[in-house]
Amino acid sequence: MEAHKHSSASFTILRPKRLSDNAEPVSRLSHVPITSPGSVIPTEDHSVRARGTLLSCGESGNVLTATRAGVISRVNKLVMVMPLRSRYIPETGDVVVGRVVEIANKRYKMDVNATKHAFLLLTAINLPGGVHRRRNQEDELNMRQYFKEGDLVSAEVQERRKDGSVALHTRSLRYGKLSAGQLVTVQSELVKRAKKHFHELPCGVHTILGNNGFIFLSQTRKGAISLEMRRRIARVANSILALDSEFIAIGPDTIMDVYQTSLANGVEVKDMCTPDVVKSICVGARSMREAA
Amino acid sequence: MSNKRDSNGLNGVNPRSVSKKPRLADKDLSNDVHMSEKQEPALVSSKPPSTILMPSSIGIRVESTGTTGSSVLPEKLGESPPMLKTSCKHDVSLPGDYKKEYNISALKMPEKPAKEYPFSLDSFQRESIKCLERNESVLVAAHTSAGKTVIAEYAISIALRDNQRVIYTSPIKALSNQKYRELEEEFSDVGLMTGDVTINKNASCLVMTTEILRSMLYRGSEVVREVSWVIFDEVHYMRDKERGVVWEESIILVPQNVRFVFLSATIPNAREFSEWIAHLKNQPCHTIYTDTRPVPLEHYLHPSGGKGLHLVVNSKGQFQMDAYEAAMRELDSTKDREKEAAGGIKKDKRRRRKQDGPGKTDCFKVVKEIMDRQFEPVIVFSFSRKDCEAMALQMSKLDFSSDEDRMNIAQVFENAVASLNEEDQDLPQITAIFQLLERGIGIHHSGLLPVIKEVVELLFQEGLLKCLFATETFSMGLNMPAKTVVFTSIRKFDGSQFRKLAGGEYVQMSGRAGRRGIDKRGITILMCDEKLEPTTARRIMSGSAEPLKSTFKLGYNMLLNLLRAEEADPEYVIARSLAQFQADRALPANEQQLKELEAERDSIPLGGGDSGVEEHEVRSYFKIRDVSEKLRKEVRDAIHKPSYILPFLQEGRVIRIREAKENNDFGWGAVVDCIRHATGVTKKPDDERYKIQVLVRCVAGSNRSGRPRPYRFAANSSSFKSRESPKNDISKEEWIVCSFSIRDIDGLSAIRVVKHSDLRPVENRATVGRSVSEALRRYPDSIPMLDPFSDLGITDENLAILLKKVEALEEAMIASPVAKCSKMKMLHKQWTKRQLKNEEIKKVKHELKVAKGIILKDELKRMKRVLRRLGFINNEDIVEVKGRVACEINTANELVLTELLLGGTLNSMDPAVVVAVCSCFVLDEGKIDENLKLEKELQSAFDSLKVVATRVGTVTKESNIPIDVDTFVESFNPNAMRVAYWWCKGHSFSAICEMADLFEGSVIRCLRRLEELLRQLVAAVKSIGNTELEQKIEAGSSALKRGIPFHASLYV
Repeated sequence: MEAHKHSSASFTILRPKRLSDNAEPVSRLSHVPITSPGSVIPTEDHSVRARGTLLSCGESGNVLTATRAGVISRVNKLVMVMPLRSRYIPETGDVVVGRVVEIANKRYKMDVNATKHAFLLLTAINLPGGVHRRRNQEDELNMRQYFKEGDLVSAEVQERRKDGSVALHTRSLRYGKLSAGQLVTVQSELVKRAKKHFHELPCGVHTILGNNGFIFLSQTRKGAISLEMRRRIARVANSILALDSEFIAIGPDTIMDVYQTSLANGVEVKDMCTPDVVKSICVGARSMREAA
Repeated sequence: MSNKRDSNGLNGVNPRSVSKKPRLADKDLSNDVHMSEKQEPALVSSKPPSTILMPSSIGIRVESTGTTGSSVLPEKLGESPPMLKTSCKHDVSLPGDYKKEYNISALKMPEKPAKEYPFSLDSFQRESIKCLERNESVLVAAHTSAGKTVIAEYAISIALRDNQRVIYTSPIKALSNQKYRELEEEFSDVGLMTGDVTINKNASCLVMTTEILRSMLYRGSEVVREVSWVIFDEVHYMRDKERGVVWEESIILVPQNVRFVFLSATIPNAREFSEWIAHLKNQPCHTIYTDTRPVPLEHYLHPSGGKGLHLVVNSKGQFQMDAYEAAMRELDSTKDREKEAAGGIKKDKRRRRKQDGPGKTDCFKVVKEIMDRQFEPVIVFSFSRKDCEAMALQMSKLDFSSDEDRMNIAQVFENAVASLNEEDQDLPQITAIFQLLERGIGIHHSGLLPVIKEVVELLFQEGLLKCLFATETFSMGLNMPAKTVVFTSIRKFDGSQFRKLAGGEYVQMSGRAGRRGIDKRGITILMCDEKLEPTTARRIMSGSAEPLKSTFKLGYNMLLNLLRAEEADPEYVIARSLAQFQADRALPANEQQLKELEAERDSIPLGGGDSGVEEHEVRSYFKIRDVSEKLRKEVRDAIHKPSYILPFLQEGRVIRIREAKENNDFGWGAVVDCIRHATGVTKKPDDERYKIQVLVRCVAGSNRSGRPRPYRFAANSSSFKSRESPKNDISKEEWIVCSFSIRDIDGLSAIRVVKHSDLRPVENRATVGRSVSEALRRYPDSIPMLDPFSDLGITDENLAILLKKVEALEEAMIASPVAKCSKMKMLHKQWTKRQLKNEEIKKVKHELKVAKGIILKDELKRMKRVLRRLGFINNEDIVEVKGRVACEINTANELVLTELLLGGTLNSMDPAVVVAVCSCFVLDEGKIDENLKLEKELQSAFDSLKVVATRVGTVTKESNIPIDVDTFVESFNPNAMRVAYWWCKGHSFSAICEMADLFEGSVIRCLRRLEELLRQLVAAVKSIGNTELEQKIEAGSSALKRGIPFHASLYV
């Protein structure tokens, strides 16, 4: 039994009695429990540590330290650190937009802004027209018929495999190759998980809000894209970038608020990128929001 | 639908007379076309007036002459036997917007079939193959032995020919193993996936359990993308209350372009099911129905204690009334004899004696007779595993094996057992069963070690076992026929009560009788120890199967999995469920019924006319009356709490007894004794814990057959005044001591009478009874009652308020003109009639609510509330960290397990203790053992589990989901904790089996499920990123996974 106490498999996290200088108790700093790598996270008995934390031997028993900078989040006895800024962390069921970087071994390797490339198996895509897959070699040879290197593809995270790799799939015909549009990349934290990630904005722009921070804008209707539509898409893109630089959550509402404010203030699309304008339209959008 | 078929006598027994009439039942929804009739051109245009496009369908009947290739000839019958003609019904259900005309009789057999058979096919098989070749879904409903496998094999051949994948699902792991073996021999490119094993998962044909298919569908596994055919075997399993929903979910989630093959027992509403598929998947779905048996059956009755067998239903399906009556007479005479023998012994003792006394020899006699008549091999079905073993042991004196058989049996057995390690080879069950097997006697039930079960199956298939004692599970799956099937009882325990065998169950089990190509007829023998109504007997024996009813229900795991995927919301699944489909179809009929009922209700007069009172007066009077009755009951309940009245239930206290449930009014009686039950773990409400023995007046002699009946009272009489009704002869009364619960007390008088110390003689009881009567006679107006406040010492203020309310109501009642009305009785009658109608209306309204999806939507709302309150999802229904954990767990209660996992209590536990705690989630049989002594650490672990379960239960209850928190907590059964713990600690299998009162097979099943659960837990813990806990659970899992419980199936 004695041996067990010291083994890593069984542990009890004790509240540290004395804290070292560089590890000030986070909770005293502010009401938002923000922590940085190496800081000790105050815990109660029976805490269950989760991502972003590390159990290490302190002066008086085991202590929990943060491995990431971010907000401490607690659910029941679960303690984890949610990073404020990081690469995308995939979860099952997320909608992502990715770029094909490599094709090999019956799979498309995709850049989804995560720490690793995700993969989309040939068997995990819907063939054009919903044709039933037949199991033969030809498909593998013709993989580039469906997606080529450099293509943008929307997909859903199927699962995180045991080895940490991420499998994608295109669950329905709504997913697949993206074309005739614009990709905007933002910090992935700003795109929240929601019931819907495919939106048609009131201005006629179709957006796919990828959880990985890749946002794809295109025209709702098929066919040639008019100049006016190009301007609208550009305005939406700049609105999103404005939100990104101001660290405001990106959703259809916030995008449209910035979009409308910029229109109301008569800001040209090309001028939307300067820091002053960004600040002013975001403030304007916020007040509009609050007024509503 | 079944009515119609029954009335035509269409149970596959007399197709000749049938063939003249089209026997398509639900005509209202279809345009059934008989082969000879001209097809209507506008087949699809006639849509039912529903908002949803309902499938329409067309159909034909097909008959063919005997093509079974076997020598099925009648023994002595002059006419041709029914089996020379096999007939089947073929319908196609088209989706509502199907535009093309469909000519069903134009379907052709393929010129180059995907698979050829050495025998010629039955008509239903040919019809099915025609549909498969057209690449369309098909539901085949036929008896177990009819040869449905042919169709499944053909579908597999088609898929393999087209380079596509095919999934074969079966309801039980063991069946999957058998099927895998069978298909593997046939096709070779076959894989197996069950919770226990995965073999060759890249194969083109995958055999799996339905649960695995469901989880693959939720995960969006690539297999699902490549699959072109899904075969659901035994799809009637969808009725199962626990697991039925898995079928429904899977069918809903399978992609639209997949084709189905459903194999089912005969279900009368097969067509409805096909229409659901047509509607759901927007594709034609064929129904092929046949209820002919390849081998005709003869049904015998064996009355208990009787002399022999009575042929009750002959091979043509005719009911032999005279034979039936003879059997019943024999039964009567044995009963009489027994009665004489039993004499004055109390009834419960007698029943027990009857059960295992003569019953034993009965079974022995029947088997002996079967052997004498050379009706072997025989399968003896009984409904309890213990009975099964006991009966087999009775036979152990007999020996049915020849020397050669004996050698073969020994060899097969030794080969199988040799794969176990040495220690396990000496398990008592293994050594015990070998002695039976050697004699040609087998046992097969779920309590056996899987390896023994499989050996028994193999031996039986080889014909080495002459007599097999089995439970119901043996009636499913692989083709293992016998010549004779015996039912040892007509009652089975279905989890909540002993009930008579249903026709469908009888059909399924009797399907094992008659070996195709060997026997001329199959024999079923029903051993019967109680009187059967001819209608009941006919219902059981002619076995009309029950319709397939959806058992759809929502589960948390399902909900979370749906919520987490983009825009696949639970309402989608609900709206597409068979439950909703069936309710939708009943909608117009229900609305009509509601209208009729309301009209009927309003047509019942209430007051008015010559009664002299207005309707509204009558209504308000009776409403007040109902309320006052209710309040009175409340008052009674408040007063009759054990804590108040127990001190007053002394010997001789005169109390009034009325069993509300049976509406038995015993009137006044004297208390004899008051017994407190031991406080069991199964908590009972306070007032049921006590039993009071009361001397009451009953009909003389009524205690000999069941519960005593009260001596007739005039209804509503509260005293003895009205007892002298001329019809009742005083001499027929008898004072008998009965036991009641406190709930049955209706009044507590202030009187006590002297109780005789010995109440056994009738005279003494009568004396006490007389003194009760005498005491009551002295108070002709009202009996002095115990005052709730001054006597019982109740200080509850609410009671005083209640009493005042009752008083006020009574005054209001007296004041009403209705109370003085001379036609009071008539008014009351009218009122009750109306109330009855109102009840019916309520029921129909509920049905309507179900149909409109309100019920399920409400439930969904409540369940989401639970998830939100426990933090599994947030306010926008987005799945949170906790929800993601719960998504991984689907073999046990996901909510409690997640709470336990994140509650931190597992941190400090030893891996073996973690495993032991998890065992509470997977053990699903047996009551909680009251005398269970747990090790200290196990007890504390179990206690913390109970705390968590109580919290989850309370939140559930607070979210308006009707559950009993205590029952919920008790559903976590600690019986197997020690077993799991010590197994992980390295004890031997025989040692752990002694720790709990469980069958070896149950222990193994529990450990296997445990291993599956632990695997899911590892995945769950991984999703939160806690390596320490992950390692711990994996350590537990690897300690668990050893030895005989995880010994691979012989089939694999």
